[in-house]
Amino acid sequence: MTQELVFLFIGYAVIWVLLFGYLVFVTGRIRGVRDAVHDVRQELDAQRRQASE
Amino acid sequence: MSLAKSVVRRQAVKQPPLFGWRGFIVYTALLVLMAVALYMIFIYAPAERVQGDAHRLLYGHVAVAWLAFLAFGVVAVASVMYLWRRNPRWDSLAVASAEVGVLFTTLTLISGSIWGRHVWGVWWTWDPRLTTTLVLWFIYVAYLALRMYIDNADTRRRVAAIFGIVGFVDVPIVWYSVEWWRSLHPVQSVTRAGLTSEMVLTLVVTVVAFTVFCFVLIRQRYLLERASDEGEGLRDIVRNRLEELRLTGGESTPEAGK
Repeated sequence: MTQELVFLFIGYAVIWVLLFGYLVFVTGRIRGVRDAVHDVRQELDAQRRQASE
Repeated sequence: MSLAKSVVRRQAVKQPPLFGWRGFIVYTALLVLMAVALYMIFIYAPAERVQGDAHRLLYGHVAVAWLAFLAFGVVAVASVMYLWRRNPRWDSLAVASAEVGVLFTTLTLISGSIWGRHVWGVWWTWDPRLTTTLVLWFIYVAYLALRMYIDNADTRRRVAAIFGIVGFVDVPIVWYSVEWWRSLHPVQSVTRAGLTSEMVLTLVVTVVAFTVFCFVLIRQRYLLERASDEGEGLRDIVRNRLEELRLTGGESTPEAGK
């Protein structure tokens, strides 16, 4: 493999790894935050029901 | 209506799905576009006369550089809209675009450095284009860092919006740096750069593919910001509830639970 192609491969590999890595990271974080918000909301609803009874 | 109740009601809006049927179409189109772009970059486009195959790196480099500018443009527009409308959604769009813009600027600097090592023989030189791009990167990293150090949401959004508008001033400076100062960097004009029609077509397809990717990233980051805002709202409700419990000595009241 020539040196030109090595540079080319490294350049595009860095671009793809960072872009897809960021996409996976952000999507995972959304799931995590939404799950946490869902749990807190359920807890608040339960407390509200308990208080109104 | 109590503040807590109004916040809960406002947040009861259904969250957009992470991956619905529209997401399936967008992700499929993205993969197809990326595959076509890769084929054109590595096979369809001819090698450049002087640089040889190393020139192929510039298709990706130009695309990510252009999208960094676009993302920072979105930050500026969203910041103006936030200051005008005071709707937190504009602030969410601004921070999402800023983070994606920083990512694309990082990719611009890395891919440019790899290309420069092969063509110029150095990883980095204090060329006007490179230096102004590095300054642009620092400006938006500072924008993101600034947001972390202001606790009050309204103040944070207002200060960030002003910073986001002022920071955009560096974008035209980066763009015109190759004309204003003597620079090693190639000019940004397609015609003056001496590209063949195959090269221009490859560049256009690559830019389109990366643009779709950029919008997908901004959307995902925007959804994360909205979810975080919702979490912040709920945290305030819980904090108020705990404060009420502390004041009433642990006796739960119907009003406090609402």
